[in-house]
Amino acid sequence: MNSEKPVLSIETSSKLCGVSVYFDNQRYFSMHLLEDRSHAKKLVGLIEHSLTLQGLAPSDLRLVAVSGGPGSFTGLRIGFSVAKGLCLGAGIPLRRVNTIEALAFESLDFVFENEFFSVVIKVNRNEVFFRKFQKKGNFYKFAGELLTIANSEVTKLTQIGELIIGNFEVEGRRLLKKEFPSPHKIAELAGLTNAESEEDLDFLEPEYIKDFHIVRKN
Amino acid sequence: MIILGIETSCDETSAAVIAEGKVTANLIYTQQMHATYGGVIPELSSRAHLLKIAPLVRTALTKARVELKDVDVIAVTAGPGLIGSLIVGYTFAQGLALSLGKRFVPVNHIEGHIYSGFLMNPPPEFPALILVVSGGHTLLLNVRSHSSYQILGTTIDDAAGEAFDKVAKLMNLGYPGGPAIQKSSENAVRKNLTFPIADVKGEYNFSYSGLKTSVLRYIQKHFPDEVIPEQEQSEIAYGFQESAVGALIAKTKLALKQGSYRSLSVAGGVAANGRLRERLNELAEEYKLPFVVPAFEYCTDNGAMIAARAASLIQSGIKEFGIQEPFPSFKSVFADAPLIKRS
Repeated sequence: MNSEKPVLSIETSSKLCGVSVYFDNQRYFSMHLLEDRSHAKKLVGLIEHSLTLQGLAPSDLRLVAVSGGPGSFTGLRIGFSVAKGLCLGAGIPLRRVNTIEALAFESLDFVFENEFFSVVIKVNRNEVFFRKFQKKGNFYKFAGELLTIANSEVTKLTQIGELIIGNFEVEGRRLLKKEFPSPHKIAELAGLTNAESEEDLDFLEPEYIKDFHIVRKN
Repeated sequence: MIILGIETSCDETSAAVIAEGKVTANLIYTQQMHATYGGVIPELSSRAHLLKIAPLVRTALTKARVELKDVDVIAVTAGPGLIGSLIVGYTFAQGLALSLGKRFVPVNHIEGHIYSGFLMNPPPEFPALILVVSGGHTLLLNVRSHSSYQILGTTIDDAAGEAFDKVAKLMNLGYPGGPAIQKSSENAVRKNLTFPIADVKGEYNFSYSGLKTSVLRYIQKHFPDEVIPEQEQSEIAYGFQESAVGALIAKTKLALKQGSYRSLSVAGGVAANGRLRERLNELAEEYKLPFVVPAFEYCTDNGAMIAARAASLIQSGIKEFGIQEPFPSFKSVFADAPLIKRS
């Protein structure tokens, strides 16, 4: 990994609007604000301040990593739009990081080797995003697909005493409450992904996952 | 000065380049998938903008033979429009301006439409009476200078273009309704069918909801099984178009009679309507005014008009744009952008 050039990460999948200028896990600078509907107005300002404080220009970045969802459609699109503009202008690559995986990655310190754990994030009143992982070395392994399931299904898919990371409580399971990944973890995870997975900026879009329905009026 | 103009306020993604006052590229991608639903689905629109914006900007620059680093200004529509769609173009432009270290100019979409006439040669002379008619807006404006205009009237319910869409939908003529109604109306043999134009509060205001309902009632009364023969369809389309255009002409004429103008212009998607152009032209001749009608590619939402408005703002020496974030509605224009004098 080229540690000279930092990664800029953007996290806008929920009500947190955050960015990080990340060199390595010993050196990074993050800024975020927790404020509803602030993303469109303040994200670019956060990026500008972060870069200025580090004495960096956008072209000094190695790549831009964006939290790819699932999450708020509009929030994610703001992150992607800003990232696309930045990358096009600076001529640097854009990388999408799955938000659920970033949450799993960030929580590895709380899990034992080989232990199974799940990330569960509320979608609406009745459904959650769900994915099961297993810790292997310093990383995670998928132990199932990313699912959108009814709340009641979570009990069936988890064991008594299992660690749940997210914002959904289930009786008999331990909950590590976390609604969004930290911006620097998005950057760290993006840096670990190998360069072969480079995607075309034009076709990158959020992982919407959840369908939306068009309801006909009258 | 090279200006990149970006527009994503509704169902058109557009990127344009104006170099030293000349449009050197104006690419417009019109989203087709909304035709299935007979109207724009905001979520689908936002998704499509995100996928089209970068390639469109790149292609526009290539067409204009300009490199990104040579662009001086990045102009983008800030509103009014669909908020989810506006956000994509606006934040993309912000990111681009930041990475290039170039000036970012947010533009009011309506002011953009006004400036589509200024892309023509000769442009409208001030003070100009300008009618902005599209699927989202119906406005009559007294444009005094590059930094001052007055809204004389607007619609109190549906926009004119919206009425064309809805009436076309009633007769299954397809979407968008404007071209479909115009095409159908051309085949009308009997031309005596009329629909009433609403009498609206506010001297220069418009109303299209009642006109649409009156077409609906007519169809329900005469074609209860909803099967309308083609000739009757054409006659309804003709009658509706006459009334819809007539309402615009009546208020425009009133404004010309009561004010003092040196030119007349029209903008927006409905400005592509042949009958409206014809009648406005007659009106301009009657008042001996030059009539400036934009080329078709500047009638629909486009990046060139946004870049043109940015150019006029910069040339007028305006540094504060009064716009902090994308805004969806017209009302917020008044609250957020005190830049323009409105009396």
